[in-house]
Amino acid sequence: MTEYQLRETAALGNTLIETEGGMLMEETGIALAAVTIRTGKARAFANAFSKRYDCPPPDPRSAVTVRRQTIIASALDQVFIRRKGEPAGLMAQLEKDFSQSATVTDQSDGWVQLALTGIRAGDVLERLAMIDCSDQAFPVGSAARTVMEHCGVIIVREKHKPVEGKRYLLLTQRSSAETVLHAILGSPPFRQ
Amino acid sequence: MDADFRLKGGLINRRKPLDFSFNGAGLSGYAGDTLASALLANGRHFVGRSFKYHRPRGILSAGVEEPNALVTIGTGAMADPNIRATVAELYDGMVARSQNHLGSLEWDLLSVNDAFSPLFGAGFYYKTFMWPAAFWEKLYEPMIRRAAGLGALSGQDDPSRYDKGYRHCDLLVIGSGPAGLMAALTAGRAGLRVILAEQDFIMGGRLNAERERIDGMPGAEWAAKACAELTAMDNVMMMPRTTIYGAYDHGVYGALERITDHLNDGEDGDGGDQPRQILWRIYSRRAVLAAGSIERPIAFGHNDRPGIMLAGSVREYANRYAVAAGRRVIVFTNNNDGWRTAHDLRSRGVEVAALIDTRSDIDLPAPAGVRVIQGSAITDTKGRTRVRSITLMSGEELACDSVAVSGGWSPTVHLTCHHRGRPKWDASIAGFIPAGEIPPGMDVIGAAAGKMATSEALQGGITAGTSAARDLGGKTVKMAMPDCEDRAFGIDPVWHIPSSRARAWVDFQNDVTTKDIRQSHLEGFRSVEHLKRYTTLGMATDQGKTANIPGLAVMAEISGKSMDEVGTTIFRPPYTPVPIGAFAGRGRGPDFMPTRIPPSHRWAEERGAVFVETGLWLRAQWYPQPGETHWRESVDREVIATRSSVGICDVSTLGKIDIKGADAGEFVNRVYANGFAKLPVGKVRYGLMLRDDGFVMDDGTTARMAENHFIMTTTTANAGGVYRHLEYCRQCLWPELDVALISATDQSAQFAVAGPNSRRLLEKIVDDGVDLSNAAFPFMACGAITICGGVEARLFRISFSGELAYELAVPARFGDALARVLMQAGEEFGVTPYGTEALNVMRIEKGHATANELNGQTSAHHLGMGRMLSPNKDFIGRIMAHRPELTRGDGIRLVGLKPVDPAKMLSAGAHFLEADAPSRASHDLGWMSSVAYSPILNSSIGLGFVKNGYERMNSTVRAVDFMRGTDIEVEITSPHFIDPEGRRLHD
Repeated sequence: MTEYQLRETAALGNTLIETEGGMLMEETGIALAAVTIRTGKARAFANAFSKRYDCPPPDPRSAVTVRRQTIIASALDQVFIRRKGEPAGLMAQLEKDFSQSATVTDQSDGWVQLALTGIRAGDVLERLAMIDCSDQAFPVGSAARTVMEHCGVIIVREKHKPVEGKRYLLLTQRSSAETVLHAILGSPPFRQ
Repeated sequence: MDADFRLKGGLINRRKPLDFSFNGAGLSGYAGDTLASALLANGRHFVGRSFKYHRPRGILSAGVEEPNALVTIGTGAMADPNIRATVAELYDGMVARSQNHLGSLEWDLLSVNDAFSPLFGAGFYYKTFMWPAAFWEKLYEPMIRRAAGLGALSGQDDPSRYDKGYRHCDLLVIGSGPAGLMAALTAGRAGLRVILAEQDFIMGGRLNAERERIDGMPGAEWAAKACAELTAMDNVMMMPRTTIYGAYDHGVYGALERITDHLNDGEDGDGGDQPRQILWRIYSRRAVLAAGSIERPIAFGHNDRPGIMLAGSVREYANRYAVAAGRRVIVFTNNNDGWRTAHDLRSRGVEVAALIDTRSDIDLPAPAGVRVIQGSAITDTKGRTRVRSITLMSGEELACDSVAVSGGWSPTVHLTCHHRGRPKWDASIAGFIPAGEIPPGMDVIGAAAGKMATSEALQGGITAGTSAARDLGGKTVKMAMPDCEDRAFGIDPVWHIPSSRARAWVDFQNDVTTKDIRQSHLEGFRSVEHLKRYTTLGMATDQGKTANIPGLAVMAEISGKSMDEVGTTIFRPPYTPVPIGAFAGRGRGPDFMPTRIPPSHRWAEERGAVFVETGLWLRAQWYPQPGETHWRESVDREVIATRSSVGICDVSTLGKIDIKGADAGEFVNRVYANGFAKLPVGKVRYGLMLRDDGFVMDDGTTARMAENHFIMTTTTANAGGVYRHLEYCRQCLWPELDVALISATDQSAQFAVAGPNSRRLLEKIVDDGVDLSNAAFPFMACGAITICGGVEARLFRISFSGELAYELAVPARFGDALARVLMQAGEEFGVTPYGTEALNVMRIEKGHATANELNGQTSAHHLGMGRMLSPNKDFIGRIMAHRPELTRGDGIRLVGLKPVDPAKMLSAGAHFLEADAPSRASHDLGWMSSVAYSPILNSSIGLGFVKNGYERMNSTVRAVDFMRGTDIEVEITSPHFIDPEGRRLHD
């Protein structure tokens, strides 16, 4: 038995930054998997999905939270699924659910998951993301794959309490997450 | 406090006096002033020198069109040249100075140029200073540039911060005059998302400059009320101090918002931490251009003296800024608007010495006490630094200290032309109006569309707002047309006064006179584009906003063409100057591009690693130890330690692509040139990927983790390109294949563990049951294992260094810890971290190709891998790879190279020549692609491509490096300098 042990390290050191009107938190301990529909298996996937989640797969550009899992439509033939817990557990569940209709790849460590909340959360995105993240164009349940400061991101608008605030889930690649963090903290309300 | 020229009223805040300086003289103004209005209030008209002749110049206008009053604002690094004083919002402590003079503004030594003006006509530099030719670049051009110019940059880094952003709206309203406000109100009440952008610091446009009433209240008050309503709407965004400078495709507009330019933003300034300016990209579904119009001058003799201004601007200074342009003003006009200026000046108590109209029989009410002269014109003026008198056609001379000139108004059509729209001439207003290909989705209203009456502007706003609401799903609202005063617009265009014998300026900024236009015509430069280039009419910071139309009209007159026939030059973005800093935004210094770091970056930093950019990645290049003073010491040590015991290197940056699906094997087999169909599960294979044209695109190893699961690695810098290529193959070439791809580069941290003790090191951290023996886990084996008590990992027995080596991958969150554990566990072996330099040395020693060799110009045959091209299958690039030129036996081949004299150092980029061949391209035998110093061989070594290289083994050629000036004899060898049999790999 080896005497050595490995300790997990959060990509951004469990970042938690609060300012008036905004808060940014690195969410860790959340498994994330990419589920890609196999060629010609869209119907089988939809059936398997409905069976598992009691709802149809989310349409492109949207996300749904059901049974404590958030399913993000990240492409026409792909969803990302996230839930609290170890990646192995989620992978096992998904590989079982979609064994005949989709391929599943663990992406838990490939992405940094950031929760951007607050009444001025939208101000950050106005500076960094070219898509329209306003209430009208990007209501709760919306999702988009885009770029911020040349870095790929997935943005999901989620429910937030208190209701007057907003909550955006930002997924970005682990290797460039510090660039994204730097960009966010260089934007209002974190920096005027 | 009040200076001599300050009137009562206006929109300035007299409770907030502001101190500022101009050329070192302390002056004062009020909040709400521009620098120009404050200077005029202090009696300062003379604020600059002209571009070419260095003639005294004064403030001409009150807006963005200003050609003369360009000043430098700020000091030190904050000094900002070429700022139009007419739009520079005054702040307390502003330091402004004039520019383009040698000596003081008053005594500019370069004003001697004016005496030589006959020599400096249009295009003089095309005809003079021709001899001797060598003097042009060294003497003449620098001299001319020094003498003719605008402001100078500080020469220091710009300390200001700039930002960029993206805004979206249903309707973008450009301009907040009566038309823009009405459009915004209509669309806002209908529930549309509206952005109202105004370049001025207060909204209202010309309503702030006029005395007319709307709905029974002064226009400025009506505008303020409308703005208050708009500000209260959640669906409306007000953007003052914002210039829409460009109309781009798909409803995208460029906007520059000035955030702190109106604040004293020095080191301890009022701007705080805010960016100076923000460059917005505005995405609009529809746009309304309500940019108004710009007044133009009339060209008469010596019409450029300080104190001669545009009449509408004189009116604006009086009404908005409560400033009299002079004590005795003469109004000179060819249209009704000049009369309005005379009325307003009189009503504010300013003496109007005469109202001169070029037209005859004009039946308009004359201002009380003003002498009206019809059917006449100004032919000349006098006064050095300020106009003193004018001369009429009759020869009569009239004293004055200011002349208000109106040659009519030109609709501000610039943004309508950004999609190559060509405006058309409207004789009824003597101006060009929008026509042709205006940006899709744009409505043009108000004066910008040639509708000069206030009622037309307001109605245009209602119509455009209603139309947008209807088309974009807004509510239906009934808008009441406000009551307003309208004045008839009448003009009889007069562009210049032919009876003037003196020089008459058309373009003040570029010192272009009517004579220059005649000269241009005479010499055949008659097209407007030629006219512009030959005379410089319409160039520089103002882009001819006041000069273009008069200049074109003079050309039309000379050439006997209509204005429509002459046309205009193309108006392009930006509408007004945008600082380069604003275009750069945040993208300066380290923020120029994203940085990617591997999971062990902090650990490497702690060890003092020196980093190198590889694509966007930062990779440890070497790890200096105490006492090492040169990078070679560190790299040599790392190489020797790895080859003698064990070293570790972070290879997380290599691209990793997860390939899954029932057809994954077939897919990999098609994209690689060598066979993969029969690769067993648990095995890795080196793969060569070709482009369509048969040249090598990339290489890497691909592991078969399961029957339908492959992990492909790519070179670090090529990861994105390879992934894109694979997606193209999957989606476009072979959509029938059941295969899914996803990038897994960031998912895992991967370390190379290399050297004779690598196995022993790994055995210390793998979990029980993981057998790393040669038999159980031979060269090119791979598999899923667990380490350190259950952490899932993948192990690959592959080697880039040529040693017994492994690559160990764990989920990225364990990457930092794994680096530390490998160092800890390897302590007994003297484990050494090595960086990309040592990696490079070892791969050259082993003869492994990398980006230097796979540079897009080499084929498999060139690389000595021709036999890898499978004859038993189809693959990308198969046909083209077998072109005769790529496969010819005497073509270039990858070989090893050593200096004959071991003391010599090879250099990459050197070209090979025969010993007795002349150093010419026609004798080129190839090039050196990679070099390194091998601490194992104690020699400089290299890889390179040599024609007929295999036949030249053990012979010598010259390696000639013209860049570094070296010419040395080198021996051609096998590229495998170390362990050519590969025994170490299989140990």
